[in-house]
Parts: sequence; structure tokens; C-alpha cells
Amino acid sequence: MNAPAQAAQISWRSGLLRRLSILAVAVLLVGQASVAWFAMRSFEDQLEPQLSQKIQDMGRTVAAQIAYATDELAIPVVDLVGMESFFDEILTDNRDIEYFILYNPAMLTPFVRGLPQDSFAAVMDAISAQAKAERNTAEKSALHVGGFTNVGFTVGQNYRTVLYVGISDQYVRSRLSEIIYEVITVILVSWLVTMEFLTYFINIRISAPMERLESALAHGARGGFSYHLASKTRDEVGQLVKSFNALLRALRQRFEEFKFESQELEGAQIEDGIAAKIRKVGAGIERKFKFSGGDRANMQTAMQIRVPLFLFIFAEELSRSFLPIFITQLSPAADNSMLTGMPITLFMFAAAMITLLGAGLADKFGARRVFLAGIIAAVAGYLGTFLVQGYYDLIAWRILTGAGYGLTFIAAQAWVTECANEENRASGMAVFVGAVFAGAICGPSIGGIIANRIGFTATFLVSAALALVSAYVSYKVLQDRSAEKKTKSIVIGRNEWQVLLCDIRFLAVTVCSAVTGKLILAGFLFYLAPLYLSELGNNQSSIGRIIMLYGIATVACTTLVARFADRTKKYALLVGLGGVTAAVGCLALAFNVSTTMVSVAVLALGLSHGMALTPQLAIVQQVADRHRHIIGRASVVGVYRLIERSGLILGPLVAGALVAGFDYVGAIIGLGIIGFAAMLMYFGLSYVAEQTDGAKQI
Amino acid sequence: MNFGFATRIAFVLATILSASIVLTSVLSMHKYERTFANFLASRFEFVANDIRQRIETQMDLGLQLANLQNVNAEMETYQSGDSQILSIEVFDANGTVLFSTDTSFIGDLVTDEWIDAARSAKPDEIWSQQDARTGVVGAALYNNLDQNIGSLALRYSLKILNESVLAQASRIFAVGGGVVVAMILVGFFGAMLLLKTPRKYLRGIRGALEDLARRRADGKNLRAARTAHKEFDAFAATVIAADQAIAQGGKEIRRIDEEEAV
Repeated sequence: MNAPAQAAQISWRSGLLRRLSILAVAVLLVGQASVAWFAMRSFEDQLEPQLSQKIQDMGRTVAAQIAYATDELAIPVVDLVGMESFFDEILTDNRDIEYFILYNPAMLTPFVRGLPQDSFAAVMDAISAQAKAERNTAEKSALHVGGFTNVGFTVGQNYRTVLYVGISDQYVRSRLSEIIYEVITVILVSWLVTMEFLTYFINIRISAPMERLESALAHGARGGFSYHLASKTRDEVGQLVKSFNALLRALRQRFEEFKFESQELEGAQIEDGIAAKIRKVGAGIERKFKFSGGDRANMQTAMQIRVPLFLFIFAEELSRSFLPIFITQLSPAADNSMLTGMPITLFMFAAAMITLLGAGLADKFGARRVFLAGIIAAVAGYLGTFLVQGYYDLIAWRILTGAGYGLTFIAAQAWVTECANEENRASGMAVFVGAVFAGAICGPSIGGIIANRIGFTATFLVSAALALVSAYVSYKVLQDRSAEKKTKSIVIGRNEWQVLLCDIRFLAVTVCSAVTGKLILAGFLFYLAPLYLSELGNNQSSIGRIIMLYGIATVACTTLVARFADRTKKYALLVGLGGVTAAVGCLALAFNVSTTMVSVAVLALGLSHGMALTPQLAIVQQVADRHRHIIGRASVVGVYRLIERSGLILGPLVAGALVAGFDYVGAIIGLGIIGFAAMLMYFGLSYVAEQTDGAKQI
Repeated sequence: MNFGFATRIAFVLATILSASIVLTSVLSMHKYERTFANFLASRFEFVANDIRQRIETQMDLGLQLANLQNVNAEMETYQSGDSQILSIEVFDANGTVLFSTDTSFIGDLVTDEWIDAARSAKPDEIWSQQDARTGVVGAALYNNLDQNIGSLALRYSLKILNESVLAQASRIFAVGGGVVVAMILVGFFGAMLLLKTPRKYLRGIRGALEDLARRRADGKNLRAARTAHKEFDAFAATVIAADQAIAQGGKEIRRIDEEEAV
């Protein structure tokens, strides 16, 4: 293909996803916003009369109580005592009422409680004007001034004394504001889900088949006609592939007929020389063109695992925002923080053990089967959790879910490795990481919203349903390929461990940065944050939204930092800055304890991981390059991942121990101190490493 | 049936959009129902609190709960002013109804749930219960020795709430359905527009491929076959060359066979 044509094709392909993404956002945004706007308007119209009815009831009752004092007991209105505390008590019990004003033209200063200072003058002017205009009427018209609606009630028979009840014009809207937050969350999540499916669609249905078709055309242009493109679809690409295969089949058929005739004639010859001449003609054609060899190009890519993996991670992450709260409800000793952390730790432990021990399973049984087995185990875990009776049942079901989680991870990684080659391994892993983070953004937020409505255990049923959808999709789109291509098993011996653990830079990045990062992630985000946010009075929807910030920050930061890191090569510095950011986020709670500060800490943790993830891997690969004569790169990364997971296992235990000694805030600050100390060690070890090997990293 | 790119993309968008709109609608309705129910309950909580204060004021003067004056009249005033109030009862610590807007209830025992709720309520605390059709708000009664001596309970109808929720749900789902249909059309035609280039590209190659195949089958001039882009043209040229080589080869072997036979 000539350069401009190729450039044009690359351009429309790369631009297609962007344009379709804009279309998806537009469709989702307009659709959702229309429904939300209609709902808000309609709800306001229905709720305002209800609020108004309450104001009427309350105003009449309070006015009657005051009238009892002024009319029955004949106490002049100006001499009433205790009105402030009387009004304050009602205002405390009724948050929908903004203020009370007891007004009489004879009073020098009316009784006013709750009216904001900046609206005072405007409201009082309006009331004075009304007092003059409606001095002899029992029914006072409602006044709309300063963002409030003032409803007046005459006190007793004297129309000059009026009790005004004020409500904010925005009150109903503010009560419905949660709908807006939830709609925004749903839009974000549906956009991410749409993007997952569109990316999958464009890759699987358009880009990958077209790349293979172009490759087959190029092969054909060089005389290779042995290709058969596999495609079951009946869309534009499917029809094209069908036409392509039919043409090549007809060409091969013609060649086969020629070959048959040639063999017949050759066999009929008595003289060898003539037979050789005939054979030479056929050989000449076969030299120029290739008609056999069975080149069967199938349409499989790493991208096929993305949607099933995303759906599975989505299912698992649904419980992220409430799992520790749910555990506390089942715990035999609710105040024992170690017991609360245990199911999370054991889940992580089961996943790590399966990853460690079951590395060869995907080779033996195929990635698809292991992936399905993992999902089935997880579904059993979710269903068990739905029916859970007590704490120890929960532990058993969470271990089973963790094992399933570990299996799906092994299978997904194996699938990516099977489909990728040296050139596209990084983009293959990006498929894997992208699916995990997309699931991590969608799961907690939607899980929180669902749990808020249907409860904790029922949300596990939703997880099971979503995981089953993932199983169905993987069953339909993945194929077993284990017989064709085996992944290399990583064998790490004592010598390799020794080499790596004596490498100061490896030790610094693994223990001080990666393990600590995962420890804070599991201890703070998975355990402390949901519990503490709940204690601060946040509902599950809000907790889910706050936990979601972690995924958003990580995704947003990772791409930017990866580009920056590759340009500047300042990997060690970025890893250090990442660690410090997480620690500072946790330590910030020492200065201000609020939901906002917890959100800031979650955001800081997301940014920190976004900053550190890619540079950490870059440093590990540098270490691997240094020891390439002793240990392979895959083995170094394997050891790194294995040690890193210990942070996830330890996190909830460390957090639990800290909560037992202090409180939630103390525990979060404690994790911050651990993170900060680890970063000091990291910088120290990096400095020593730099001095030792002279390699300039910072 | 053949489904093209645009149909498939529109299907993806439609599925996700429908699911998200259903989710948004359900969440909104839930919030609406909760807010409406809270508004209703808070109105009746105020009424219950007011009656409680009046009763406790009388008891502060030394009267026994069973001997209080004007309680029924006050409760009836409230009930007659609000059609949603079904009944108001005052019961003692054992659950025996002492006063009620429905005099046939006097002397009856209230349910165990009411008694439990009243006993566990602190001074000035409102307790509440709800079933599908009625809501109850109650206020525990305390004497001046801080002893829980009973409670009052106000039963109100949830008919207006249920009707309003149903009406809103039908409206929102109707609007949501309309929006989904409109957005599916936008998605379909938008996808058609955006996929114009790749579809044109694929159609071009397919047309050229089929033309080439037809000409081969009909024995027409292959050189006059349709062209697409350069890569395809190079492929087509090789196919034509291969086709001709096979034809040429066939002639050649037949010629060799005939010549040698002669």
C-alpha cells in the first residue's frame, strides 16, 4: 500500500474510536440529562405542595400557641419571653424551615430566629410593606423575597401580629440534589461501559479483521493464495472476508484442476523426458504462486479478553464501598478491628496463592477454561455471600471468591501473552490494565448506589449476575488456543531470589514503594475509608463515589506520567513523589477531619499510584536488564509482582491493628506515617544504589 | 439477516443507554418516594409532637394520663383539619388505648410493635413505622418523673404517596422510553455517518473482489475488472497473473502432450 493511502487508513481508524466516543457521550448525556431534567421538574412540582402543606399546618399551630399567650393569657406581644428558645427548638426539629419572624408594628425589634443576616433587610422591608397593605386581613399573601418564601399567619384576633414562616426556595431542589450526583455517576459509568464495548467492537470487528485482510491482500500480491480468513460475522467485514475467501477458493480450485490434468498427462507419458517437461510447467507455476499450505488467519486478539475481564472486575468491585461495613455487621465482635480486616486479607491471600501455585493451569487447560473456572468459583462465592449466615461463612465465601479472582487473573494474563508477540506485548498488557481500572471506576460507585437501595447481601447477587454475563461473553468470544501456543513458565530458583534481594534498587522499588503502596491501598481504601466515611454519616452512594475517585485519578495520571517518565527518564523520582503523595494524603487528616479530607486522601492515593505504577515497572525492567545473564525479565517481573501482593495481604491487618490502638483517623494517619517512613527509606536506598553502581536515575 | 457496523453500534448504545436510563429512573423514583415519604412523615411528626407537648403540660400539673381533659377534642381537631390523618391514639405503657379519634378503639390493645417502639423511644423522640398503605408516627409520653407512661400514635394514609409515585413512575418511564427511541435513532444515523469512510473502503474492495470473481467465472477480460486501492490492485494483478499462468500452463502441458504424441 502506498504511504498516503496507508496514512489515510490509519487516520480514520484511530479517529473512529474518538468520534464514536464523542457520539456515545452525546447520546448518553442528552438522553440521561433529558430524563433527569424531566424527573427533577416533575418531582419539584409534586413535592412543593407537600412542603407547603406542612408549612401551613405548622404555621397555624405555632400561631395558635402564641395566640394562647397573647389572647387567652393577655400577655402583650412585646412582653413575651422565651420566644427565642421556643423557635429554636422547632427549627432544630424541622430542617425544612429556615426561619421564624414574629412581627407587630408596635414592636421595636421583632422576634427573628434563623433568618440569614444578608437577607434580613430585604425580608423585613417586604414584611413592613405587607403589614401596611394588608393590615386588616386575616389571610396574608405569601412573600417571595431574598430566595425565601415567607408565609404569614395572623396571631389570634389581632391581625396586626403576624408569624412569618420562611422556607428556602431551593429546599426541595436541594433535597433532590442527590439525584443529580447519581445521574452524573451513572453517565460516567455508562460512558465507560460504552467505551469498553466500542473499543472491543472496533478492535475485534473492524481493525483486527481489516489488518488481517490487508495482510492477506499483501500476501496475495506476492503470490500467496493459501490464506483462509476465519470470520463468522455477517457485517461488512464478514461479507468482504466471504468474497475474499470465495475468490481464493476458486483460484485454488482452478489450480487443483490444472494439477490434476497435469498429473494425468504426466502419468500417461511413456518417455520420462516428456513427463519431466509437463512436471516442469506445474513446478514453474507453483514456484511463482503458493496455493496450498493452509495459512489460516483467525481473528483472535488480546482485546477479546477485555470485555469479559472488565465485566468480572466490575462485578468484584461492586462491594468495594461497603464490604468492611458488611463485615462489621457480621463480625462476632464488631469492635474487633482485626476481625474486620481478616476477610479482606484472606481474599487477597487466596488470590495471591492461586496466582503463585496455579501459574501453569492456563497452559494445561487453556486460558478460556481457566477463566471460566475462575468466574464459576467467584459466582459461587458471591451466591454464598448472598446467603451468608455469619462471619465464618463469610470468610469461607470470600476465600472462594478470592481463588476465583486469582484464576481469572492468571487466565487473562495467559490469554494476553498467547495473543501478543514481542512487538505488541505492551499494548496487550494495556488491554489487561485498562479493563481492570475501568472496572475499578465503575464498580464502587454503582455498587454503592445499588447497596443503598437493595442492601449489602442483595448487591452480591448483582455481582453474581454480572459475573455470569462475563462468563457468557467469554464463552462466546474466547477460544482455547493452548495447543497452538504455550506460555513460558517462570521458574525462579534460590540463586535468582538471592540476586534480586541483594539488588538495592530492586529492594527499594519493591519493598519501600510497591509493597507500601499496596499496603496503603488495601489498608486505607479497601478497609478504613468505607468504615470511616460511614461513621462520618455518608450513605453508600456517597462512599462509592468517593472510592471511585481513586480509579479516576489513577487512570488520568498514569498516561500523563508514563509519557513524562519516558521523556525525562526520571523514574526513581516519580516513584518517590508518588509514595510521598499517598503519605501526605493520609497525613492531611491530622489537620482536618471531614468527608472532604478523606476524599482528598483517596484522590491523593489514586494520583500516587498513577505516578508510581509505570516508573516502578520501568525500574524493575532496568534491574532485569542488569541481571539478564542470570535471570530473565519475566522472572524479575514475576518476583516483583509476588512481593508486591504481600502489601495487599498485610494492608487490612496493619490497618486493623492501628484501629485497635487508635481510632479510624489515627489509623489513617498511622498508614501515612508508614508510607512516609518507607519513602525516606526508598530515597536513602536509591541514593546508596546510585552511589554504588553510578547509574544516574534522578 | 445481515447486521452492519452501524446497526451493531446502535445496538450497543441502545442497550447501555436503556440500562442506564432504567437505572437513573429507578434511582430517581426511589429518591422521590423517600423524599415524599419524609415530607409526609415530618408533617405528622410535628403534629404528634404538638399533641405530646399538650399532654405532657397537663401531666406536669399533676393529672394522670387516663384522667386528662380535652385530649380527644384536640386530637379530633387535628384529624378533621387533615384528611390524610386516619386516626390518633393515646395508649398507656401496657398498650391499652385511652384516647382515640375513633372511639371504638378505646380499651383495645395496640400491636406489640407499637408497644416496643414506644418503650424504646427516648423523651422527645419520634418513633415511626410503615406498611404498604399506612404510616405511623408516634411520640413516647414521659411524666415529670421521667417515666415512660405510654405513647401517642398518629396513623396516616399513604394513598397520596403511592398514587403520586405510580403517576411519576409512569411519566418518567414514558419519557425515558421516548428518549431511548430518539437516542437510538441518533446513535444509528450518527454511527452510519461516522462509519461512512470504513464502509466505503470495505464496499470498494468487496465490489472489486466480486467483479473479479464474476469475470473469472464468466471468462471475461480480467484486465477490465474494477479497481479499489493500490494494495488491492496489486493483489488483483497477481490473481490475474496467476489465473493466466494456470491457463497458459494448461495450454502448455496439452501442447507438450500433443506434440510429443505426434
